Amino acid sequence: MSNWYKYASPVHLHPLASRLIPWFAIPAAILLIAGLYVGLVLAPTDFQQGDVYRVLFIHVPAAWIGMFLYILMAVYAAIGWAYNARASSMMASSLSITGALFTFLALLTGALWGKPTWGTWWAWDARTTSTLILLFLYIGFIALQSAIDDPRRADRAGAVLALVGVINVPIIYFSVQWWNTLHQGATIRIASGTTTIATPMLVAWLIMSAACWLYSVAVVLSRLCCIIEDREQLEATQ
Amino acid sequence: MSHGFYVWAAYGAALLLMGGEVLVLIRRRRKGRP
Amino acid sequence: MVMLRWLVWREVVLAWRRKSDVLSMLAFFAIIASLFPLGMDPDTRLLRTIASGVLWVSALLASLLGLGRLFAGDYADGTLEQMLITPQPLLLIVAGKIFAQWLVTGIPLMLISPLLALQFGLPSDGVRMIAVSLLVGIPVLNLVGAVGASLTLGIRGGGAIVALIVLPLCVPVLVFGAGGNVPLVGAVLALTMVFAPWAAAAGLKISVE
Repeated sequence: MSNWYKYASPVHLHPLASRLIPWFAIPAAILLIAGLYVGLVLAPTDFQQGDVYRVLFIHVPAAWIGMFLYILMAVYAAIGWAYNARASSMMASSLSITGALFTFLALLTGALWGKPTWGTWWAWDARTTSTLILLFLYIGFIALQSAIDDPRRADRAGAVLALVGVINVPIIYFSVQWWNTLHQGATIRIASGTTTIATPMLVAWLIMSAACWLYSVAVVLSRLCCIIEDREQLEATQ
Repeated sequence: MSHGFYVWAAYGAALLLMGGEVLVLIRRRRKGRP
Repeated sequence: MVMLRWLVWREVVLAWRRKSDVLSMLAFFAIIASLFPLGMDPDTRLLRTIASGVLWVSALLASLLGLGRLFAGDYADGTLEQMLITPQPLLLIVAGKIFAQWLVTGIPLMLISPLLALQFGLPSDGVRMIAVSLLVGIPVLNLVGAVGASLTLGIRGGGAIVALIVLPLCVPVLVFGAGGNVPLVGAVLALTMVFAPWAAAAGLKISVE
């Protein structure tokens, strides 16, 4: 058990992370291709929603990953701060970029889904607005860390910000929901046109979700290695 | 295919973003190993 | 406790010596609020609808402006480092500073809000609601702002970084305040009073090392 503690040191973590990447990247690529095939080719044109529902195969995983990675980022940042574990903080920094990208993708694909479905590119409903604010939270974290030159100060400052942010997320969501019911009355719901989900659609959704998750792990580990290398170089020149 | 543009745009954006992320990372790692 | 009273008094005196800091913040508040009608058709019905939101956003931006004076001055002349070394708990010092910030900047903002609300053609209960919501809500802005200010001490990038950090966290108080739900603003205030001073103190320790 005590052997695992050595991975708290970036020097030891780097080779492990490096070796793990292909184990996630290659399945991710395969599942991505498979998911695209099932989602775009095999799944039938829906009777009510036409083809636009296919956007959800990427929109929903992106939104979930965006939200989950923020929490994960906050956890790693907190551990890195509490235990002075640099590797943990570096993991948080790596997660921030991927999380922000997926959140942005969720907003973008959401708009592309919304225009044909609701007739408008943007709807100020609870979920869309909360996702937008989540993106701002990510941007704040990333901006704070890039503005601080000292890496350890950047790690700790990010940890405080991430913790404050993660505690705020339920409050923000609650407030946005309250605001939405106040100003709109009938909330826009994702129209579940077909009550029974056709098997190819479910399969596509599962494959795409898995592909996105595997991709996230591969990409985050890869960036972690880059961050470790950058910091080592920085320390070597000081 | 009705509303085909939106589907292609969505997946195109996804592939661009994800592909871009991967490319940037590959380049960064190549720089780190001279 | 005596130390706290002394600290708050010190802040007030310092603010009084540099009245221009606070006055320019108030002027900023007034100008921003006045810009909105200028940017649109000043139809009275429309103005009444947007009044609460505009005044709240303006107050938010104005209090953001005021964050520069919270820690930066003491950081620059070394007083802050002294504060970190003293046996007095940092939490108390930070709480005192935030309270003083509210006294010096928050209360004046709230006091001139009725004047600006009149510009939007609001009836008297509308004016009162805005004033009350700001009364309870501006402390939240000061508290959350303090966290942002503590984390960004001495960073280049100007006010933009603090804004990026603080503004998303102020969404709940903005939504509840502009929506006129004072009890919910009070709830946010209660929660913030518990967490923010601690976070700001932690931020200060991190920033000063």
